Amino acid sequence: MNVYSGDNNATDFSTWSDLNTFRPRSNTAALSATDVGDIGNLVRTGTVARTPIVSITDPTSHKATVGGSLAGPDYATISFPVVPNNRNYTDLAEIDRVYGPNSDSQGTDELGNETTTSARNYYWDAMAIQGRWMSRYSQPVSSGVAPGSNPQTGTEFNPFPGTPPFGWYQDPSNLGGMWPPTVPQPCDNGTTDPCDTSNSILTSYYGANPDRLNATQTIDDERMYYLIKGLVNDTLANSLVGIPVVVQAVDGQGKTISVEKITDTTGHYEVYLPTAGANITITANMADPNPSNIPVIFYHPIYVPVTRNAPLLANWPPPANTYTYNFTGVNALPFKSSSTFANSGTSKIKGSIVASETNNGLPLMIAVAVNMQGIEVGGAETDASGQFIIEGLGTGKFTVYVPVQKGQSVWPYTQNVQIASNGDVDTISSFTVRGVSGSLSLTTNSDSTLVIVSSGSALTGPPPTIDRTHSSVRSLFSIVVQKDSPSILSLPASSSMYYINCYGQTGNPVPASPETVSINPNDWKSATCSLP
Amino acid sequence: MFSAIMKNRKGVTVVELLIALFAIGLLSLVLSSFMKNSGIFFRRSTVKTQLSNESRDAMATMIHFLKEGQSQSTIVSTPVGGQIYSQIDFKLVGSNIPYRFVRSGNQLIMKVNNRTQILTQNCSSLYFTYPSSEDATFIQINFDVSLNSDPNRLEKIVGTQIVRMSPG
Repeated sequence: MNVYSGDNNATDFSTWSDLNTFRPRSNTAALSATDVGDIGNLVRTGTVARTPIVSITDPTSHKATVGGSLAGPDYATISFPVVPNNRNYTDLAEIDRVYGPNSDSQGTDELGNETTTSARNYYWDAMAIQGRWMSRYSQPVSSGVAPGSNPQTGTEFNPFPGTPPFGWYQDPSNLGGMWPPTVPQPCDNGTTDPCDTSNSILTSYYGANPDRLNATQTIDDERMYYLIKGLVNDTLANSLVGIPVVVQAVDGQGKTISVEKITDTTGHYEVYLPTAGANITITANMADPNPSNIPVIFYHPIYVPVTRNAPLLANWPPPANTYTYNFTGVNALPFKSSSTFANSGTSKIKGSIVASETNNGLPLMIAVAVNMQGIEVGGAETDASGQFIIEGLGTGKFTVYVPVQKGQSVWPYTQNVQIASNGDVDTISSFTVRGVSGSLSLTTNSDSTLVIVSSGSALTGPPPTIDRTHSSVRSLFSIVVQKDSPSILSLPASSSMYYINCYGQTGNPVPASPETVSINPNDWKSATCSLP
Repeated sequence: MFSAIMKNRKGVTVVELLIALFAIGLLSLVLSSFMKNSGIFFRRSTVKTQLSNESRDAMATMIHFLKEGQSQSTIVSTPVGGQIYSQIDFKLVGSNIPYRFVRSGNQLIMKVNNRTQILTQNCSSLYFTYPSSEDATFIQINFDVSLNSDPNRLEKIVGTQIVRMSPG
């Protein structure tokens, strides 16, 4: 996510609060390395009014150095005035200046030239922060010159703070409804125009597989912008990748905005959109919300996902804020019930099912093929290595899915196969199942023995205090075993070893003779506690 | 003839006397053993009944309050020098009053604010654990009470219950 070097510290710009941290907190606040963090070890270079305090001198790495000077078109300086003026430090304007796309009339080049403290307001049409496209006041972004603006300095005097500058477009056709939105381009690499060419080092923030956000631009009071973010989990708190999250809101013009994002590889989503304080509805895993943009993930028509509506957020108070909503327990409904397999063909579909916990093949799992009418037409069980072959298929389009057990999730949800000729053998990629487990049968030589199974390392003393928010709830597995009968403990399959720590009722709370055990999917293993 | 026989008899024979004494002794032994076993049985039954009642009452009390407790406020810990995970602290829904169940020696103690109530004097083991790593609203109580019914015999009752606390 981090477009900069990223050291995962507290100010790695992965959250909105990080951006707030970076912003000068007051007109006289000094920036420190802690404040600015990942933008590149920014260092305040002076405390004198109107002295540039940040210089980005390495456009490739975005590393900053102390001081610095404008040494060429690829160099930019960002200035933060430290004297009182009418700039509104409580909004996001400063952030715009930092991250404004480097093109003529809106880039950091202009910012570098800004040293005045006179009353000014700046409106950059858009900014990109860690893959997000944020709209403020819209203007044509490829023309190079915004009406009323000075392309050389990028400054724009606006006598009415909080309103769009005169002449700026309210609903630019070059942004609305297009995806991916066009990142501002250089004029002509600075050959004929003295415009900023530093954007030539900008790479796409959106990656090779941009999500399905339909950029919706609107004119609105910037105080009404909100960042809605969160995490989408299944019932086992496994992060769900590729789940569409739709946020619906009403902007200041009364226009309904519906923005869809897809959860990233960590299950997170973030949506930035304007709203006028009206209700907002957030829906995760909406069934086929945007069928015109299917390529990323295929949603079979009958594979109707469960939708969860966030509480309607009535009277959402300004100013701009971040709202976090985490979805839990998002699972998909099963396919239609099976019918008789039409085992008339000779085509086959090969694939495999692996467990993400061990990266090993997962035996005793079922893969099922359905045709485009949603009828199951074949199925197969994996062998010991996790391979399966669905046989008896004819020609046509098939969807293959893995029905998982409660507490498990599978990725991808479905895979499509088109068999052109009877007898073809098509191979699909692996399904990866999360949440698989094995069993550990425990016995003891002493009544009421507490067994705590830990992963990674043995416990060397009393186990830690546990509360529901403590990671130990998910990393320490405990059970009380009586000596007259074994107890069964279900453990997530893992490529790491588990340590079996046994505690008696009294005495020194040090585990007795920790043993190790590995748990693979569907394992059934046993261990014994021998207490002194 | 009969009178002649009776005339020759001087009393019971030694053999007869010994047989009689043996029978009496055997009977006494049986009765004594029976009485002794009855006493042991009675004592064991009494202790078991006592433990059963104590276990049931203590478990019911813990379940009652844990059900009303906020899982978010719950902390399972090990008291200093005590049994592992034999202490649980929580608050009731809508209340800031701290509740605690803890094993101290052989006592199972309930503390509400600073007030203390002993639920049983015969607690021999107490564990609070999270039985599900996926749902932390569940708390498992593993609770043993035990008491000697005689110097050589320990009566014990083992109780296990899973309680679902309030998610709040």
